[in-house]
Amino acid sequence: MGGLLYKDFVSIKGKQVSITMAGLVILFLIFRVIFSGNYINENFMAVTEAGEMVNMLDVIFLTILPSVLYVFIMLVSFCFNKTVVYDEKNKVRSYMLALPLDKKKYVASKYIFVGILTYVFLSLYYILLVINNAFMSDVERLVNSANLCMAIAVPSMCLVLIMHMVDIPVNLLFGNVKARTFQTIFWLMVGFAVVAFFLFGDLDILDKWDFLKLIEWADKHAFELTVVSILSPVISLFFFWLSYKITVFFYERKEGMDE
Amino acid sequence: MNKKLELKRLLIYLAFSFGLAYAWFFITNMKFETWGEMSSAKESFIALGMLAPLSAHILTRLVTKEGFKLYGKDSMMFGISLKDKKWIFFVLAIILPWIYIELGNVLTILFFRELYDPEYYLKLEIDKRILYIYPLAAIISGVFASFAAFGEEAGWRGYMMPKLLKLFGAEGEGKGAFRGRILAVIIGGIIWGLWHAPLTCTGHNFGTDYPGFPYVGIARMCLFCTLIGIMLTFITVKSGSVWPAAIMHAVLNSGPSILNGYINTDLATTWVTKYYSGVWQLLVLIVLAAICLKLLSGKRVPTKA
Repeated sequence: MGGLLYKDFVSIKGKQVSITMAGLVILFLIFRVIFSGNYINENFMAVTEAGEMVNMLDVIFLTILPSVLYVFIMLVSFCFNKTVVYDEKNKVRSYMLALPLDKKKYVASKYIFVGILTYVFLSLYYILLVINNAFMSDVERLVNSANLCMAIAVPSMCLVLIMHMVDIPVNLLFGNVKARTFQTIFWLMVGFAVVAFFLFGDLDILDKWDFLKLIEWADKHAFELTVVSILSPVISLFFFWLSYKITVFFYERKEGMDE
Repeated sequence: MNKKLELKRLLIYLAFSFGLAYAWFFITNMKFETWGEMSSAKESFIALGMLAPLSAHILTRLVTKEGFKLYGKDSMMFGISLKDKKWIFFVLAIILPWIYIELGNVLTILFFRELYDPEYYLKLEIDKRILYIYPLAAIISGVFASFAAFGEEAGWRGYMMPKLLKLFGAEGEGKGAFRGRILAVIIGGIIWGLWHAPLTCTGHNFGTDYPGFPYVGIARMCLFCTLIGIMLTFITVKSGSVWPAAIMHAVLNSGPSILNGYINTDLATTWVTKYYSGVWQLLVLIVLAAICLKLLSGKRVPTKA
């Protein structure tokens, strides 16, 4: 198992990725220290509806963070796809047939690898959040936004597991090309749905949407949100494990190893 | 085994670990604010110093050229194996902190009745429903945000403790090995406690308002680290991995307890209840540590994770 995981680590150029990620975190720290919330410059100051003075640098960094989370989610998918492409290109699965290696272990290695990537990127995101919050000014609106960025971390990573609960079996059972086709069709459908909403939907809903209302709603339903944040990792891990069991069932009955 | 070489390697690790951590703690708190004065965001930022032991471990292996094996003998112990009933130690890692804290709180309420406040959680503005699911929330958040605890355990249990166990001849069987284990965990605990000294001096864990601050606090921290260290070392040796220890450490930091919402130390009227309300938790910890030390038998560190 360790060998399979190491192979996947090498296939995504793991050493370079790790050094790059560490470097980016350090760069983020340096920039955050230089452009902290205490860096007062008239050009960067704004006033909220509540009359609070907000440093736009804080807003810029806070805006970056959800984008970083999105990038991390995509990176997990990207890295997993790379491992599958690497295996297909180098005929790893055919090579494995010649070894006393259980097909179950190969499948497990993919699931574990995605799990490890999810954990690592979640940890990196938390580190970035901690760095950001330490140098952010103590304005209520900003603090609430930062708390929201923290709150979406675990559910977002649960979403990664849910996505891969479908992605991994499709890749292993049908191959990477077909899997990418399914993925493209899926996201195109989502894209069409969004465009259709903007063309034909009731856009007044967006006018009524207010960030403050979201914060108030979150405060009002703190217990329900706490329960969701507790249960979401457990539920998603359960489905992830279930997906593994189903994939193993079909993969063991697959004739030969498709390349 | 070349004891001189192992000692040299250990000293290199300690130099890196203390150097990096103390530098971080100093740079991030140059105004020497106390733990109570600083914001929770700053506390979390300073707590990133918990990644120093992991960094020290990696740097030490680079310098000593010991390699970066993930599992097995003389490895970093980053691998995970659930075979041979090792999954039990992962379960223990999750529930032992809750048992220890809750049992300590039960004894605190029984013997220090003045501290019992049935509405304390209301003063803390905690929803009662959230209070009752708090242990589960703490366990799950501990497991998923265990990277900081992993940062510590990767160094202390992943490098320091195996070296200390070897140096004191604790890997064999018999009385000599048992004595060696006791010495190893005590020395390891004291080192770990001293590593926390800059934080203890700012009031982390024990505050600043106690007699003998900060020296008594540092001594208490060494004692606490020794006792917790025994449990963490036990769980690491038995599982062959630092991950159960990381999970246990993270869950412990989250403080999974329902009864914490009912114990109000502001109601203390005596010297003991004011400064040593945690004495019952300490007693529970001593018992658990003694059991772990006894169970830490003469079996070698598993060669395969």
